[in-house]
Amino acid sequence: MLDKISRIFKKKQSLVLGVYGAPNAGKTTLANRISLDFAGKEIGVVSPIPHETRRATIAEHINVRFNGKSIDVDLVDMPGVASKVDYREFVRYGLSEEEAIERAKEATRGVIEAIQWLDSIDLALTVFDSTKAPYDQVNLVILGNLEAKKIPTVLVANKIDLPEARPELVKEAFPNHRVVCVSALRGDNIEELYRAIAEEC
Amino acid sequence: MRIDIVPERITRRMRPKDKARMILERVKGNAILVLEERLKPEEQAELIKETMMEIDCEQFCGIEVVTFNEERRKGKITVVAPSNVVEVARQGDLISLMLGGCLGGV
Repeated sequence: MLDKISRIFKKKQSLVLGVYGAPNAGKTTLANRISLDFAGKEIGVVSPIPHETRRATIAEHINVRFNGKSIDVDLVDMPGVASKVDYREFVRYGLSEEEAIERAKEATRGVIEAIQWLDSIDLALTVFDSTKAPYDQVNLVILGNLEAKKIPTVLVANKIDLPEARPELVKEAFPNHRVVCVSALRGDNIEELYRAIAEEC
Repeated sequence: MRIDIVPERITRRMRPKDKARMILERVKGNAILVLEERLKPEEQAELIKETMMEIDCEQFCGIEVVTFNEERRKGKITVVAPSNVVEVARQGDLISLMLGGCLGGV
């Protein structure tokens, strides 16, 4: 484990790591996994209802020390980016109309906040739900803006533990990006993700 | 519902915020917009931000945006439509706009 960590952040001394993606791609599950591995605690609450994370959640100063080196990581779990938010979707998950409307209002503010954070991160993990088609316009917007701002990103094809997952479609859709296939829930292949992060720093 | 085709000469010199406002004004007026340009990523981000500020709980729940394959840098068309009447389906390079509405997608 120490050897694995020691390869990470070999160039930078500190960085802001943003976790981006569409709603319910598994961003918070992934952020929790990273935070657990590096800081021993989770960062946010996971829910099947879209837009559970409606404010950027920051795990500050995750300090990693090894081989005489250390790195300060601010891990930022972003709200899901979407071009539409309909409160009726939340009602279908069992929320009252009042709760759903409030959730929708908070979700719209969260989307704006996630976009504004693009000016403040050093590295992004762009998370895909591998059970869905990767060519969502939201994903294109995220990747396009990261590229325009010259922010390195690793694409994370998540949920490979599910039988319907087709992470190979993410690789086919984005051949110019590095794609790592993981199950953030189970931790499958998470070391490969850490290796990819290290090489992007 | 109508389809507005917007030539590139109209949008060429617009600032991203102004372009987003123009697009939203038309989309909220029940139009599907076909822009003769591919919106830049930062313009799409601005459009999403403006959209989020305009969403209300009854009349307007957001937009669908379609540009062609960004990775290959082909195509010069952007389609923007109200999400309550149009649903987008992608299968490879084929993009389908299904009228009738998704009503509830997030």
